[in-house]
Amino acid sequence: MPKKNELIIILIIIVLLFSIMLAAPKEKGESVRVYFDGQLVGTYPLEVDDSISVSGVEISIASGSAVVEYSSCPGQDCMKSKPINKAGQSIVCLPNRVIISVSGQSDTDTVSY
Amino acid sequence: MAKKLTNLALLTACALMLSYIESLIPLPFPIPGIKLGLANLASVFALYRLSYKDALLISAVRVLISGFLFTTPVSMIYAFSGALFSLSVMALMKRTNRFSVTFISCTGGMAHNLAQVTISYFIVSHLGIFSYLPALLISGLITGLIIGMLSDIAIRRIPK
Repeated sequence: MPKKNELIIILIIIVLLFSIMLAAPKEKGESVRVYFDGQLVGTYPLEVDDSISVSGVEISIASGSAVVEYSSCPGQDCMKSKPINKAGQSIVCLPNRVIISVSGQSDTDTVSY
Repeated sequence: MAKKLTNLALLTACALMLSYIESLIPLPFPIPGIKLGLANLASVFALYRLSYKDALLISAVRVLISGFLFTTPVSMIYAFSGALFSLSVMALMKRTNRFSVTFISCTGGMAHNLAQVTISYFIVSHLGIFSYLPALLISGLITGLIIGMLSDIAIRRIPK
């Protein structure tokens, strides 16, 4: 069993991390950027329904959100992800090296917490 | 010599079995990199009962074999860097003699995921990947906690 001090530290860390997660921006995104291998492949507005295919990943934009329709990767974490539509949110497919990220008016490439 | 080899082999086999069991359990969270880390039970046990180098060896062999058997060979880069970093952090903490097994395992779990996210960054070159960090750190902490408690029991109960 961990010592009492350690339990306190663990609790503090949990609270800290949770507040970071909850403080994430809720700003609605305007467009979705698709990256393959670190390079920007294209930017697509969220209001326009669309279908994009990159490196074995099929992305579909519908009802203002982007989601992965199909992916050829083994883990399929990306397919299980919920649709994204807020600035800063992203869906990542590591095996296929594809990243889909929502950008809003602040238009930064980094995620701000 | 033979006894040492047998111990190493046994623990490696255990690590592999744990890896296999883990691959059978689907996790409902869609976050890439989230795992139960069951095989780390063997790693932590090895760290305490044998040595840092032995634990490293066991992990390396386990990553190699399970990379071919249960997951994809590509994932070996992530798995190995995670294991290397987390074992090193845990070995350093263990040296100070100030922390309990469970706490060290928590830190190990977080370190493991931290290393994996960082390696992912070098592969996809997109800063946004770090947005997964808080969730991964929490999951590393919690899984580390559970594995740590189990390791603690194992280290105390299993006779040398």
